[in-house]
Amino acid sequence: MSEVINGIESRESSSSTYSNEKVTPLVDVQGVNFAYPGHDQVLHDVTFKVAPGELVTLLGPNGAGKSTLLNCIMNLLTPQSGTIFLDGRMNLQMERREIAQMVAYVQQSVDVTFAYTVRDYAVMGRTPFLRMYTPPSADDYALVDDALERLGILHLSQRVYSELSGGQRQLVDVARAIVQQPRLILFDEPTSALDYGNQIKVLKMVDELSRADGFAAIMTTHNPDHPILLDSSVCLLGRDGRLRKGSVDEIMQEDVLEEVYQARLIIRDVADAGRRVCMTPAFG
Amino acid sequence: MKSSIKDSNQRSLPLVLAVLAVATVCLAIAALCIGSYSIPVRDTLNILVSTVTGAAGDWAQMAETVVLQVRVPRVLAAILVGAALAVAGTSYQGIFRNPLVSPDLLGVSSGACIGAAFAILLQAGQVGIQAAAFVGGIAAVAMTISIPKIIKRESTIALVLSGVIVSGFCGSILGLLKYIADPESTLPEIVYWQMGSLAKADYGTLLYAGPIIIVGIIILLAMRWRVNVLSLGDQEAKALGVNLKFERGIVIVLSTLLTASAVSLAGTIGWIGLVLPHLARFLVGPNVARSMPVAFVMASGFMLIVDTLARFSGIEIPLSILTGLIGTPFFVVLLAKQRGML
Repeated sequence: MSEVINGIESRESSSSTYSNEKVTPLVDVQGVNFAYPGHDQVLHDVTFKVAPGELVTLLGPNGAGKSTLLNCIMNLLTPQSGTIFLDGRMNLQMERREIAQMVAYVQQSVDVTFAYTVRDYAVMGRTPFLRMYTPPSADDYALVDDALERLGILHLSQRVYSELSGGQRQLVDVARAIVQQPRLILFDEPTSALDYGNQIKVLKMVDELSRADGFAAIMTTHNPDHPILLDSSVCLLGRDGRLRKGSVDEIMQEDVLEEVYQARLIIRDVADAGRRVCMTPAFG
Repeated sequence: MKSSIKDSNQRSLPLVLAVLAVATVCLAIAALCIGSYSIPVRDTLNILVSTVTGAAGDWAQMAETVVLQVRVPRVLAAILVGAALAVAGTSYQGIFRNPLVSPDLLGVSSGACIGAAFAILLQAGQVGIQAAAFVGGIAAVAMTISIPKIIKRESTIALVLSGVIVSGFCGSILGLLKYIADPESTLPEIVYWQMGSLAKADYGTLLYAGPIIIVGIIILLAMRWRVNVLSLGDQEAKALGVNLKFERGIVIVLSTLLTASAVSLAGTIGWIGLVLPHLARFLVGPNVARSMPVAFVMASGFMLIVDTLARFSGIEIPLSILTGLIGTPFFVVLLAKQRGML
């Protein structure tokens, strides 16, 4: 238990927590290779672990396979080789319901055909805990109202989900994930469709919630500033489909990032921001 | 329009259902009284009560025969057919994530009709007709679902297009069967199936189709909330822990079973499976936990009205003609009113 708390309290130490053999990693990806049929290999011998409560930023250029990796963890895609363990159990051998009770997946954009209200939409996060013939109970709806309130969007509860702005929808998706009470949340580019203000808002929210509820999170992004902001562990997925994991200090090196993004980047301490900042130098 | 959306989602479901149920019961009683041989409401009710109590009364023997032997089975068939089509339509629209999908559009109805026509040609009897209607319906759905996969465009538009293709194909086969059929005996029967009618509904056919419809409706009503989750799409549903193949399989098989059973009772009846789910969403919002029971009760009432009109006309107008004449303009009004909240 102390390791778990340790993992929550300090992001810095969490990446080393799982080297302590006493803790079963929440996610244990071992030697995963994946290729879409008829295409080049996307994931190349990907190996990493995520400790309970750990916040991980999965960084990489477009098309590197970030979403593919998340889909493999959810068992929505099956790797050609390699194994993924969720809390010590092979994910291929778990029922969908069991995976969903442990892992919530916030996908990039959910295309909702029908005009469900925010409340009716978010309560679907309870699905893994409901039998096929059981609709959500008042308790389930209470969880929804709680989550909406925590995210400051309770006033949206009777609005139509598909009519909300991108930022509002993202928050509702986060609410649905919270309602699912998972131990791990996978965020697939939660900020990609958002303006700058909303990006920061969602990032802060993810950070605070994971600290408060103790869930681990893996968040994909192509913005190298995000891991610095979150002070999370970093998984860097290169163009070659190989993944490196480490702390911000270890991974966020100029030469490493330049190779991955194929653009010149500089990382500097900015006193006014109180953090390091990743930026591109002037053109020419 | 936004305010009406809010209202529909907050409208009390028990109240709406109670009002609709009372209306449907009134329509059922009216349907028992109205017809070429009209019977006073009091006599009709007394006749119904006497079947339970066994009490004799002063009504005409003719009235008793008409009510119990002709109109009760027809009323029951109308209720079952309406309910089956609406529940199937709601389920199809949910799992195919498309409010334009209906048993007719997916080709189930025409497939079932071909099956029935085959069985009629082979003089297979009631059980044979029903089984063949079911097989035809399932085959048509399978074709409709697989065409988008073959052309590698799995959008909802591709699905709708595929339904149009399959319906067209089924139309040709049906045409061929009609061409082969004996114009004296089997052809009129096939045409009867194609246009829809409850004129031949009796206790015998009810005994075959009724239990299947009732069981199918009960199971789909029980898992109706699940249709919401399935309507989010394959990836989302799986990520939320749904055993997709199993649950979607159940919904498709049951919906097809309901449609095929309805066809075996009444032939092809268009528009009900498309329009009534829309009307239900308009009344109580798109949450299937709320909309399916409402569609179910409303469709029963609507079928009663349509069938009574068909009988009352004196010439037994085929039901599809009436549902089309009433349903299509009504659908346009509905679409105009619910803009943006399909």
